[in-house]
Amino acid sequence: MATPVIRAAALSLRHGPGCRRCETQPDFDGNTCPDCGTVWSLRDVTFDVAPGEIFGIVGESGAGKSTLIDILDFALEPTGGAIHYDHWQGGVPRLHSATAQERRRLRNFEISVVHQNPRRNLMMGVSAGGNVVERMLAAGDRNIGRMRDAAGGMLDHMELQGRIDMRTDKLSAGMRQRVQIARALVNRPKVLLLDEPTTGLDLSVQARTLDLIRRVHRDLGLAVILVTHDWGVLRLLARRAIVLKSGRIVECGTVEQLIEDPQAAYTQLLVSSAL
Amino acid sequence: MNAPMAQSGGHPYAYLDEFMKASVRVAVLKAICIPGYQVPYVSEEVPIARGYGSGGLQITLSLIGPDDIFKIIDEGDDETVNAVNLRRMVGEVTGNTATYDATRATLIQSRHKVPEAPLSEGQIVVLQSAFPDALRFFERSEAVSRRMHAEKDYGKLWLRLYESVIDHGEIMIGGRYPVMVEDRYVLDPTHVPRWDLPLMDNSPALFLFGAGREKRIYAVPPYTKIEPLGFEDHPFRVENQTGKTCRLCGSGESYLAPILTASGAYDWFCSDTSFCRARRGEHLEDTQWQRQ
Repeated sequence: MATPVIRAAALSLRHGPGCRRCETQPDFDGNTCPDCGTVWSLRDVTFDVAPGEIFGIVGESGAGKSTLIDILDFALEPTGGAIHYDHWQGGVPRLHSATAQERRRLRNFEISVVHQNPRRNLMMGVSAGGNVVERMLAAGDRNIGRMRDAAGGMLDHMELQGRIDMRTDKLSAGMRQRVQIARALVNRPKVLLLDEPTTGLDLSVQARTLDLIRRVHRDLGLAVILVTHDWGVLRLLARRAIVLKSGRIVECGTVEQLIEDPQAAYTQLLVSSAL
Repeated sequence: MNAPMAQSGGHPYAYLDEFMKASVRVAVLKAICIPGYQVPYVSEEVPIARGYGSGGLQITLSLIGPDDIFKIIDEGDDETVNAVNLRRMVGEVTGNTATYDATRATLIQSRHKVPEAPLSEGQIVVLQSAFPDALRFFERSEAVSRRMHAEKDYGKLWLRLYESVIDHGEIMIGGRYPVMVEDRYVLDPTHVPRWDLPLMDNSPALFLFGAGREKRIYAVPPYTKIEPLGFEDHPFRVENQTGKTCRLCGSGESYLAPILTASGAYDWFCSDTSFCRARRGEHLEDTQWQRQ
């Protein structure tokens, strides 16, 4: 396997002081320690993602999927563990030791995120093209003609021809999601984080968006981390996945294996309830 | 700055007590050290309402000394109500000389206009600022906009210019046109017309901005680069005045303000009235104020 582009090593996020039981012998279900009440949103999450891979993260509501994405996107600081990013100082130091300026550069050029709720990324009072162009402006481009060509090309790629000057709050939910993807991709990042990109969209839009993600992935060759609770989406896009429950990894493997032959009882439950 | 401490009319020289003057001067010094950075300061009460130039007045009263010759301008005009009343107040609490001549004044307090006459070293221009933060248009949180300034995170500010170009074909921002100071901080130059921004670039005079209500002081030191934001293919431009000249002095090289005539047409006049007077050969005498 090639050098992983991103590596999470024993990521933990806890809220509370911790005690001997929950720090050394976590023998309880759920993510709250019965002795000291510490909540472990994430606990010892370890995985790596190869360049050009689509990597899935599955789990029920509250399992810590979006928390994990927020940590990878620098919105949250982990309390334990480290993220190694291949394109930043050779992947050696902790990614979260980067200064604020370096983080902004990483978010501009290296790691992009698409949220489930477009309002977290998009400015609704600004045109669709403006939302895409903002990333390029932040990266230092100062030529409107050139930026409009690039943003227009990206929006065309997202099947949003002729919508470049439309205000974002006038667009439908599916279009907003595609504007978000265009914005995430315009600076050609190496890693794309997708947090439930198709949840809440109707089936035909869902299918088109998934198709689009697959095409973009093939064309640009970037690594994608895909968070979903939908086995169908996962099967369509991802090769490998981890299953999260109460902030812990209960199983990891290829998607085929997870669906056809789940080992952990929780995975079996998830698969059977989905089918 | 060794102001006489003798009491007259129940208030110290230049009205403010020495503690307040010191706090304003500290903020001014810090602002000069970090061009474009907004320095918070204790904005105490002065006998005018906040929003009427209290920040500029505090700087003026803190910096003025017995030898200073001062000038007060409001939208380029020396004779508007605000200018006349501020001049009278500063005159009565200091007993200094007031002038109409921008080249002779050592301390100029102005609202929304930089004097057209070329400024020289040693002059101080105090501009009254209503909104000190150029990022306030799209960022409501002071904490966030401070962080954006610290990280030089001006993408959204540029986006505002981009949207303006998309909507109107060019950058349609009149007052408060954002300027980059020495490639570091973006500064709000108050409501001066775009015309004035090149006058501030690399000027030998010191520009101070006082926002009394928002409690901020910022500065453009002498010989500092001021760069209005613009794109490679849509650069910054001053107001288009081709074909217009001042009705009184015939000037086309100064900022012109329109006045609606009875016939419904616009007449154009120099916004800077003392500049216009000087071109017509008129001269207004200085006023020597008596300290009350």
